[in-house]
Amino acid sequence: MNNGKNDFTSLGKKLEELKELFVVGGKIIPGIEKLVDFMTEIGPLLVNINNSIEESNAKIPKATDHIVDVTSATELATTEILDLIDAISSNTFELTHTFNDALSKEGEIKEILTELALLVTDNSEAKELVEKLSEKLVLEKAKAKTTEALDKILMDATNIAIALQVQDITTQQLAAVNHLILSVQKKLSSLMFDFSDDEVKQVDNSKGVVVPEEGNFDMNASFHNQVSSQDDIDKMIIESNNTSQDDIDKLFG
Amino acid sequence: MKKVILVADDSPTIRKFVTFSLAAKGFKIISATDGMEALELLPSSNVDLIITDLNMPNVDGFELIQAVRENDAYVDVPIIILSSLGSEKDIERGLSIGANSYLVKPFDPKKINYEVSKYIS
Repeated sequence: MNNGKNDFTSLGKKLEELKELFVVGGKIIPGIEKLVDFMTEIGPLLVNINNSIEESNAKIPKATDHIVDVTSATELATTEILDLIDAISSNTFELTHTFNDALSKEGEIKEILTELALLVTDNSEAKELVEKLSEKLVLEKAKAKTTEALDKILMDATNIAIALQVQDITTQQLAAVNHLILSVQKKLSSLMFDFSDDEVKQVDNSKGVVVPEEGNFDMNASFHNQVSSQDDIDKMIIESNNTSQDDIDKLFG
Repeated sequence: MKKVILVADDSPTIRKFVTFSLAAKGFKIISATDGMEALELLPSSNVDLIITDLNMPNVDGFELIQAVRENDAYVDVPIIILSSLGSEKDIERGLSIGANSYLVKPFDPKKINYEVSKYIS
């Protein structure tokens, strides 16, 4: 009998617990419904985000290809310009040499004409011809202007060549940018990996692009005043080697 | 006989510019695109001086200098660093492992000629 009473008491308790559970459930269900609605709404959005990441990810190899193409093109153009500068410099050296040769020959002709003038002092017509001939010798007069112009060509050519070193600096900066882009691509790939079970997509290297490794470029490379920065380095070397600054100053003085 | 200068730099522009700066002085210039190629060229080239960049693929400038200095055959070959890295730390490191001079890019042809003339003529 007692057992039957206990069973009813226990049943009552269980029903009470069940009732409480229904009350709690009644409170939670609207929240769960909202969560389900939210997940249903956000699902397509997540797909869109994933597609956008995939799209951006797919464009990255193209971007790195473009950067490498730009680097190659500027490298090619720069070496071609340097070839031309080299040719201009060689030609200018040759021209200077030829001019000096001609100047030396003109000096010899002048000496001969001076001797000739002494021999024809009695012949006014011949004397006049010698004088006319002497007047035709103009290289000596043109020496200063010509030398100045040739020196300027050489200096300009050298300055252009120095300025072209900016290409090397640009290449290093572009390599740094490429490295950065590839790091972003890796991150995007890992995000996509989280969304799906696909493998991490690698950069399409169909064009044989040389992907810059960190350390092959100077991330802080800049085209700055070469004299001032070299001066600082020279000072450091002088301090460690006891080399004379006068030697360096003489060169640029 | 022409003195031989080995230029190690991955930038064709810089290799060309160094050649432009020094070839007119009668030096024979041979070039390598990285430290590895430079080390391969050394035994057969009778090199009198090395000019090297620091940032290079495969074997970088620091490794090249170390390898050269560890080899008895080239221990006395002068080495000039030519790099865009110009921090005190890089310069000290370069000189401490055996480089003789340090030039920062961009450089003046007169300056490189002067540095080279300190060791060979």
